[in-house]
Amino acid sequence: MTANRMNERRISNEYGILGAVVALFIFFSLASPFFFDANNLVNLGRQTVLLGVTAFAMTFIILSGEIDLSVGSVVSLISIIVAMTLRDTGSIIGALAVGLGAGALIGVINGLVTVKGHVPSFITTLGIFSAARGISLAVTNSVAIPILNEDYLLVFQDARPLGIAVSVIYAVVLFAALHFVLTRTRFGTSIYAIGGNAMAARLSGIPVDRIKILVFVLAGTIIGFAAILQIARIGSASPEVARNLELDAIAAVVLGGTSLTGGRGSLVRTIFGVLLIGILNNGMNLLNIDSYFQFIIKGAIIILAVLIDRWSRGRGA
Amino acid sequence: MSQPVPLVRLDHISKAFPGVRALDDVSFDVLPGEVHVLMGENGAGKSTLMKILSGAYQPDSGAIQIDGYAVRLSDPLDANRRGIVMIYQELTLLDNLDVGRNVMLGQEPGRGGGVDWRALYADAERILRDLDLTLDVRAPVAELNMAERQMVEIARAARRDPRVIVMDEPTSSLTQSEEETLFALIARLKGRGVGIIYISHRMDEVFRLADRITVLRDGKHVTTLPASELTRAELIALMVGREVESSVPRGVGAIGQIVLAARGLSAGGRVRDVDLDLRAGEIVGLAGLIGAGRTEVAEVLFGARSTDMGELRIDGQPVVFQSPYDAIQRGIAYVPDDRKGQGLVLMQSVQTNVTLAALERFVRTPLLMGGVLNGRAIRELVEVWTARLNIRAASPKVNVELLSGGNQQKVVLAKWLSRNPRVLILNEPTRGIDVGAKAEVHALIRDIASQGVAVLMISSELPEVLSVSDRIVVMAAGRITGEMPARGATERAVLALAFGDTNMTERVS
Repeated sequence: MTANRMNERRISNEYGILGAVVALFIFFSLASPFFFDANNLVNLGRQTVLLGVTAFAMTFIILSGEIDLSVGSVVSLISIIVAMTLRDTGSIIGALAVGLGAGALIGVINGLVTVKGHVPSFITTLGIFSAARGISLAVTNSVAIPILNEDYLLVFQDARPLGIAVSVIYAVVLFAALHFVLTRTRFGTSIYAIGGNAMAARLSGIPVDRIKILVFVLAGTIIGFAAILQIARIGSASPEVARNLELDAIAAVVLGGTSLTGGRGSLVRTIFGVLLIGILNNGMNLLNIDSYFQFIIKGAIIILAVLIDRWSRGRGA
Repeated sequence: MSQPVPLVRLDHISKAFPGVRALDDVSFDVLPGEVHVLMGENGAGKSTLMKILSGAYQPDSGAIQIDGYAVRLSDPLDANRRGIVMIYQELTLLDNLDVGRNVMLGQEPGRGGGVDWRALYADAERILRDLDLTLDVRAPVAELNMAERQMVEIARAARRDPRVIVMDEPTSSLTQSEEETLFALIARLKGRGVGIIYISHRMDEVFRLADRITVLRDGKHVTTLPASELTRAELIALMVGREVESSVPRGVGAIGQIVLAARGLSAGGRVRDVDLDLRAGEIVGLAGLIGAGRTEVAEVLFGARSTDMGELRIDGQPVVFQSPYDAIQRGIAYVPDDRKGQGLVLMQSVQTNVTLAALERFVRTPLLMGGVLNGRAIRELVEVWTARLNIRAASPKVNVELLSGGNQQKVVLAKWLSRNPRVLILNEPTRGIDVGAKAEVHALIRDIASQGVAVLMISSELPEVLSVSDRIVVMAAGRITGEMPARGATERAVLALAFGDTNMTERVS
């Protein structure tokens, strides 16, 4: 009986977040004449892609029992590296490879320091958070690098096959692939086991250290891709972009109901959290809400949503 | 003799949860100065009844009386104020603080805005002295053994002048000698008129301590009788409502070649110069006090603990284990004593837990990401093993945290048995599981051995060591102090070896 109840709860819980997403969607549709509009919805999709892709990476990290505070700074650093590669070589493939490679490399650093150096990931990634932003500022001298390559903009931003923004298609494909990895592969199962109980996982022969490092590398690579999409969307790479992105990504993951301590949650849940924050950001802009107030409202909604979630799950959950 | 007024009386209590009638018209009481043992299989309703007594649950119907007066226990704090104290299986001490601060936690004497430290330690000392406990109030709790921790826990309970103390499997993590300390303390508490409700699955201590025994089965009250009017066999029959084999037929399979041999193993002072041979088809019982180094030996054999010296051989070939993974690949399996902390991923399903040690065997497409898992093969294997080990779970998708202790342990066993290990190391395989499941696990261990698996079983329960093993090896202070065939071995002989080292004196007196 308890199992059934838990399942019912889990379903109602997912619907609970979905309900909030729908409610917010309807609210903004009524509150602003510009919200429920084809152009705005495409725009909403494009804006949300960056958060979505980043939150996918964050979901892997959090499920494995770690945290990554560096993603915003890393997006900014990689976007600059990609923009420079593009400017100097004109090669889209080259830019793509450099972006993904740089992301993977930063993942290796985060992973090795955390796992082999026994530094809490909170600290490791806090260090990278600061260092990556600093490098971005130093390399560019605080000047944005414009993206002038038309082909690059077409491939990663402007194309609209079947009327859908191409970046949204990338995000959906990425979601499907990552969801498969989490739910159907040995790697994915190992991530849940490690996040749930690293000791039991180790004693079951799961290579905990290796898997954790791989999670950081995978997440870094995904972040690299996020940076590639990001500069295509805003048409330039700047050391100022993606500030607070890590906080929005963590908020999206937690809003979805994934446990911050690891081992419990899913990418599907993360999608709901991403939509909630994405719609909120877009809608508040359309309503011309002062950006200072936007931060306050967003903060309040995040806390409220998680509180409601906890209450609906009952104490001790 | 007139019947004294019970300290606490639970009268015709019923409690239902969605889909389950946890308690059905159960009555239970405790008299002053009595040890009332509460028995029943896991799921019989013991914990629900105790949660009602402690105010954590409200009964659907029925009444609670304290000293003959009807009361309502609104929450655990309320019950606590009325002198009802629970000592939990999982101890609730703060490791980073010392004994005195743990004893006085939440009731620190104040002075001005701060804590009056001198008064705190004086009070703690007085409480410990009242209980005849000689613990240093300044000793960090992290350095205490399990028995000493339990003493601190009880001392904390005692500071409020308890009327009724509920002890839920208090000896489950104690060695035989540590138990004596606890039993002496129970006798002192009885002498002061405290009523003790004692939950345990261990027959020996039940018959030793109990004044009266109440048996619950499937949420119903079966009987309450003076302990002197019950025999062990009757009690077991009452609990399970069916016949349980109390002893395991021994030695049906032939004992074969040495599979795993250890020579001169030493690890960080916890394991010293240990030689051990494990043979196919043989069950070796590893006995000793807690802290004797038995778990450490198991961890070394499983690659989970690094060695300073010594050699391991499998089938005569030297092997080196860098990690449990290496040991598992060589056919070694380890069921740890800390089921929840080391054996299971509680928040994951039965299915995931059963397959966790053998994921590579289910890889269908060994491409990226460690390979794609074959879901059907996983489901089939889990089905086979849940049936074979009689794991009672609503479905393989149920999280293991929702299962009873016995079923959880079977999940851990299934995880390893599904790999067909050559060497099976079991650490306290029946700790905290009920009588019925215990018999099943014992029969299972026998069965595994008869199929030619070399079994090493660590147990702090001497009757278990004596009845299940073929050969008994005893450790003290990191060394092997002796061994003997289990047939004809006595508890006394094993205990003598367990105390074999003259440096091993008891720390609690």
